[in-house]
Amino acid sequence: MTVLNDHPSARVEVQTVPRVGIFTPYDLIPGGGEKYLLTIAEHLSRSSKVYLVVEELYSEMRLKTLGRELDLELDQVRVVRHSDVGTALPFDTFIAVGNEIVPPVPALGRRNYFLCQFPFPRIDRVLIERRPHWDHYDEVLVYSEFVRQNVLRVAQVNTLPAKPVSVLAPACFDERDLTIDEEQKLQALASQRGKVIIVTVGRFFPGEHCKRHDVMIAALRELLRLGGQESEVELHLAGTLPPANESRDYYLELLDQSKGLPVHFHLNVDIDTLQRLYRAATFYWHAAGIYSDPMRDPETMEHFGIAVVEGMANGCVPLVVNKGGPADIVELGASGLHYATRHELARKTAELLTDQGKLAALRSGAIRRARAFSKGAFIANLDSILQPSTLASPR
Amino acid sequence: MRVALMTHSDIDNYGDTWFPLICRAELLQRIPDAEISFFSCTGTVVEETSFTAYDRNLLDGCFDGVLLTGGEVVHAEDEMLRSIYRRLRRIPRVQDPTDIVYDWADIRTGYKAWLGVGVPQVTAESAARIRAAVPHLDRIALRGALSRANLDAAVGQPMACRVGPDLGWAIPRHVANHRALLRQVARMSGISLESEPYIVFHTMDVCLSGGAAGISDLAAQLLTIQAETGVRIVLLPITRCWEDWKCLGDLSRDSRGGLIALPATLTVRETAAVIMNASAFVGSSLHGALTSLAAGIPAGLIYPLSETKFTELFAAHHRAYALIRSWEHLPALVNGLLTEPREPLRLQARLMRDQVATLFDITAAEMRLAAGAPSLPTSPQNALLVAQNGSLTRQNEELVAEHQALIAQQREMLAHMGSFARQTDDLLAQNQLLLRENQMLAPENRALAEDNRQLGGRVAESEAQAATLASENAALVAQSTALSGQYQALLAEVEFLRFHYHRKISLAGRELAKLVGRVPLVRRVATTAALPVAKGVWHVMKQRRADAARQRQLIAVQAATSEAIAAELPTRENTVQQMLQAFAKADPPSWVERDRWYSAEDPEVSIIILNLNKADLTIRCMKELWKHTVGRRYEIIVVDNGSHADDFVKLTRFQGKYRLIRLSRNRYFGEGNNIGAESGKGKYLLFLNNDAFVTHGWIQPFMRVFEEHRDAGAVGPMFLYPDGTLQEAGSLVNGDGTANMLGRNGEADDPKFNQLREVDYCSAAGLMVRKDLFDEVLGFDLCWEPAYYEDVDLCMKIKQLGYGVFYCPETKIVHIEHFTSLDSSHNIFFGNVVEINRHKFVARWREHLSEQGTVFADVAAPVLAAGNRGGQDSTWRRTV
Repeated sequence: MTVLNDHPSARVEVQTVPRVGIFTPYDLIPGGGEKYLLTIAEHLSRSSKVYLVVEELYSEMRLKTLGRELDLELDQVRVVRHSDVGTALPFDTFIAVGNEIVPPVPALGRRNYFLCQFPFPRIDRVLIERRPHWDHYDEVLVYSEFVRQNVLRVAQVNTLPAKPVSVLAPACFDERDLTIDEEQKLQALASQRGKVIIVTVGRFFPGEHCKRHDVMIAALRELLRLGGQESEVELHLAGTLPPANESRDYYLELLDQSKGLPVHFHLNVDIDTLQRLYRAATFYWHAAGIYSDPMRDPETMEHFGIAVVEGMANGCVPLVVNKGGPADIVELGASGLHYATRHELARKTAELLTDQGKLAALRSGAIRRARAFSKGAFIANLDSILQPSTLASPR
Repeated sequence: MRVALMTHSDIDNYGDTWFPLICRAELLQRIPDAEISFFSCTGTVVEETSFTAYDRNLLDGCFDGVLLTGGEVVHAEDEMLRSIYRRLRRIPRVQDPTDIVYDWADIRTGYKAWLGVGVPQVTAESAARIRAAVPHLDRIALRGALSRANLDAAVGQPMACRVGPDLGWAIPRHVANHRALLRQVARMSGISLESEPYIVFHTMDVCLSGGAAGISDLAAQLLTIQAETGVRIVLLPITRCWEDWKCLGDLSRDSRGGLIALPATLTVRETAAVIMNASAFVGSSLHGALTSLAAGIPAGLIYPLSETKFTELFAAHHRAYALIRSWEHLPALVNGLLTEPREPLRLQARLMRDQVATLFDITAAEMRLAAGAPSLPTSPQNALLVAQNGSLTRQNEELVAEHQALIAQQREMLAHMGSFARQTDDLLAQNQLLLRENQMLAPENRALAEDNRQLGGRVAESEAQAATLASENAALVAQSTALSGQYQALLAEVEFLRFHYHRKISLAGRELAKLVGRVPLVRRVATTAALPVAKGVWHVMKQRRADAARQRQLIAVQAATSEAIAAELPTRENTVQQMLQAFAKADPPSWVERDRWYSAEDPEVSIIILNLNKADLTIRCMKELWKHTVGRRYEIIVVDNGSHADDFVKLTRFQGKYRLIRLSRNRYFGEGNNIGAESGKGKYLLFLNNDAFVTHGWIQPFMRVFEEHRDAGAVGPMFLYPDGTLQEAGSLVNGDGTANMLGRNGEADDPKFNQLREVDYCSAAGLMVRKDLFDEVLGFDLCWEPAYYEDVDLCMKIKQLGYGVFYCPETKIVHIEHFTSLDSSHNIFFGNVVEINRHKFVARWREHLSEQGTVFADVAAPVLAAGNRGGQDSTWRRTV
């Protein structure tokens, strides 16, 4: 018997092209954070050798499946176990993702970037243990201005030396195939024959970062009472169902809550179905963090809102919670509306249904606003942040 | 002079209740003729203050000054405030509670100010309202730099505002004769607090962080602290709107009376008196801690977030050590508080108290000026007041000088506090030692915990099996009872018909006799008429008899089956054990000869086995492979899918020809197999459960299927139960995603199930697949995690590429079934997995599921017509 750690993906090959390592401590399941990281991987793999560094092995097939689900070309990206990488700085560029103010692993590149999804509160011991990592990273990347403000504040409180913090807003859609103009959108809506579709996209899981599908189902019930029934309103909930026990319980609870209502669930759907759904939808609803205090519990807020932008790019009028990342994306009254309670969500949606002029104005505003978050814009921004010299120079 | 004080005191919070009391007292000291009115959102009475419901018309032009005191601005627009109102059954009388904070532009009055207000991070909407409000204010005194930064961020430019002290610093100044208040507390609660030292403990976060277990742990920790320090711990409810008294009540109960809890009905003055008499304060109430500090008593805060007004307060006063974020640091905190020198605290308290006084000096003077009141009072007291107010610069200089003197004093004290620092160092060192010791003990603890868990798991498993058997038996008994009921009913019916038959026959005979006797000519005619009646009755009788016989037969078969299953169930476990023992007996003395077809370099078939805490079984599975695999080169890859260390060690110690891939966590069935498959070198992959055992000559028939059928993508065997009965002869898929496992519980030698044929899918408990196809369809899909439907989906993908899935009866694999998936120690609950995955499966493959129910109705038809659809099974077999 031989104990094997020589899975083909478990070796970092010696190459002359620049090498990029992207570390994630999280499970590889299709989602916003993974799309963000893997879009970086896809782009950099065109000019560099890119390794996705994980804490425990995943198959190459899984990475390809993710590529298929997220519409990314990941054939050139390799998976490697963190413990197999070693600490002798094997990468030219290293990007690590984490949910604390300090990076989860030591820097492994010549130039190092820490992608802080959000500086979640952690117990002191974790922060103290990881405190030395901070010094070896050159720059912090964040999703949004909301996260940037929080990173600066938490870094200051923890007396961490100052570092540049750059906003790299996610690539929410590919201009080549995921855009829509107003003409096309009107045609798509006309084909619904008076049916009004509300869509929301997000993983089904409970807990502090829950997408609050329950609130949206309750809001739909209220909308129907306010007259939405006349317009034949439907709520479509799409997203991945993670393998955890509590996620399945949460999903079954939602099924139970939506009995007798025009609610449709779409689990683990492919990208084409998702796009069809976006195009047919009049509204995009978002409710994460609705009843949380952004000061007391900032971690429960949506930190960016990729799906919100995807919806906007496809001509959906967004109604988002007036806190966190989505409130920064959606310009109040110009490219969508904000709300604070589910009553407000139902009321504002009902009002828009009776004011086609305002609805059309918000729709064109949403399509315009979404362009700022295209894949092209993301790549241009990424290239300007990463040091071109590092990527270009062979080792 | 008329003054309006606005506040959120109606949320019944300790700090918020204090603010109007402090403001009233401080203003009356400076403006004795002031008529003060109170306003809040709901209009209420809190302790000694009566509030009118806010209405801007009541304010407009009616007051010389309007002050907003205390509270955090953003709370007013948050759902949280509304929920507190709901809980307290108070109804805001205003359309929007935020008006009370922002309605400043429209109110005509002489003087407007925010005093001691906090500004947490604001939203885009509230920022707009703040921007509109602040230009109309004559004074803003915010509590702390954090609030200041948030206000600046909201307004978009630095604001000309004063970072004032928190009004809470003045609380002890307004508690007259706290000894009398303590006696009052003693009379009410029966708890005397004057005679011996005590620590006040308060929390509102226990319930949120650890539930019942958290409370239990904390109670134990507090009892230990109480025993080690010799100082009593008194639980004090403070913030009624958060219902902290519930947590504290639970703590007291959990400590079995070892911790004293004061009632939740104390007034704010009584609460303050309890804190001011304590040796130290520990808790999660900011104003509770401030009351303590303002009385010169050390206070420590427990708050889980890393950056809040709490951190700011303690950082500003150089007491960062006293802010902890989790309970584990509680003993060190209490030790620190009990030994902390009091003198710097007292100096600090004096400085802050003076700052509050100065704030009110200035506010009162400005208000008087705005109202046109004489700015130079004549009384000696007022002259002193004006002297203080009149020279702000001088006062500031004095304050700065005093502060510097204080710092100098503190430094001097710090120099004297070398021993204290050394003590702290010692404690830290001690803590580190303890930490190291804990770390050393941790693996042992984990191992013990693991043992316990495994034992618990086994007990649960046995119980679950017993429950399943009992429910199966009950179902069979119920079925038998129902059938015998039906049988009795049929017998009764038969008896009834028999009676009528005899009656009709005899009637017909009598009629016939009459006819014969009366008119001989009619005799022939009558006979011809009666015969059909008799024949008809006889026919019905015959049919009924046959039905009854069939029913009897059915009942007998059911009863026999029921008895057989009942007899078999308790012995199933024995059968498995007997089989394993028989396997072991047949082991050769040496494996050297038997594993000669093993080829690590150039195998034709790569066999992938997942192991999850079943090393013994996996080893047995491999031994059967070595024993029975001849004629083709093969390799074995065992993927350890996150087993516990002891189980993994067992595998690594086992010597034999196989490769082992260790995954430190469970990647689930699909991904575990994908990882194994990617390291396989063979042209074919065999996915084999570790509770499935190959039998003699298994490999050649499989390989022949691939060689003789170019369109074969996957091949599955005949699965047998350990007792030799048939488990599965391939499976068909219904339109609703459920499966028909062909031949389930049938005879293994039944000719129907002994011919090669195409099926919808075969279970991956022992499925051979072409590796190139497996790669092409990207293996088992991640969307089925944690388990079930991966194999059905895989076979569907293979069929989509134009290849077939074959059932090969010549290869027989004995399969225990459910050996790993029913092991509850993995903490994966499969109750709802199958149903959810069935929905996903139907959604994905709806277009390919035929109307007749099965994917390939033409394939299914002959099998189904043969009379055995097999068992419809929604509990798919699988090792996870």
